[in-house]
Amino acid sequence: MAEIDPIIHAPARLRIMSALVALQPRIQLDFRTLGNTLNLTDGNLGAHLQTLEEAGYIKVDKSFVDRKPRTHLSATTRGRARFEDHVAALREICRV
Amino acid sequence: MMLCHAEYSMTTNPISPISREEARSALEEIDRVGIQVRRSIAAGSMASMLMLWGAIWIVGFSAEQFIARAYRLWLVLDLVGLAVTFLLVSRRSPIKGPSYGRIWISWLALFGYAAFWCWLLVPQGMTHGPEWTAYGPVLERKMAVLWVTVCMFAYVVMGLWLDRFLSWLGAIITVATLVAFQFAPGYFYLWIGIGGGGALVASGAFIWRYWR
Repeated sequence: MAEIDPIIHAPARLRIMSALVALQPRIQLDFRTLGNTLNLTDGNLGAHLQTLEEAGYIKVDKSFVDRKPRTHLSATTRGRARFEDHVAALREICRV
Repeated sequence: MMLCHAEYSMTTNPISPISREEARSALEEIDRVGIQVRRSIAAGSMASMLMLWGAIWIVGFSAEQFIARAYRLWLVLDLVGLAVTFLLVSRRSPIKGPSYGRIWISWLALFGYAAFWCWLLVPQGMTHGPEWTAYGPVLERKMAVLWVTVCMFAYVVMGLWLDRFLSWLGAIITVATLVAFQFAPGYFYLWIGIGGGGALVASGAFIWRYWR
């Protein structure tokens, strides 16, 4: 039976995971675009990303473009599996 | 007491700390964010590209309406368009990954396919003389229809992945092009230039304004 994931369940982290899982596997999304899309401040977004990264749900990739730092994010295989499990649990609750 | 219990079991799963309403709104939020992020990505580079290629269509097709043998101008416009597109995508794109490279390859494959059919359909050596005077203009218009519909087919397919808006845009421009080819041959290029190119520019502006 699918279970609610307490890490993903927090509203901001649910939205972050929804955004990253909506992309195809191995596609990475720019930090700024994610923040603007979800209306999250850099600090708030950064804190939630750290939690998700520590859980192994997302991968954070830092690089330099035109000598400026850019951060790209993607959902890991584990993160996608846990997210799908979480969604299945939500659907089960709706059906009950 | 019985009423309270019935009310509780209607809205809450007994083994879950989340109510049915919370679960439903979470699922709605997941769908909404998915659409929102795909739109943001599209707006990142696609809005500029639509406006760029819309402007190129306006210049190129309008020139074709008034200038004979405007294909030389098309070569320049296409090269400039590809170079600017490459710059826009590499600098502005909010995403990176292997699939992104595949989008480029898909576009190149599509252009190669259209170029192959142009080469196959245009009779070799028929660029002058009475035969060209009789059939050349119709053939040129057919080639223009081929290029426009091939590009718009790509928009329809992209729309299936990104947003139906692009599919509708591709379908409407395709139909408008075929209508112009059939019923307004005298103003065909101007129709595609102003109508099709204008639609691309307007769509780019719309995406830029509302999807970011």
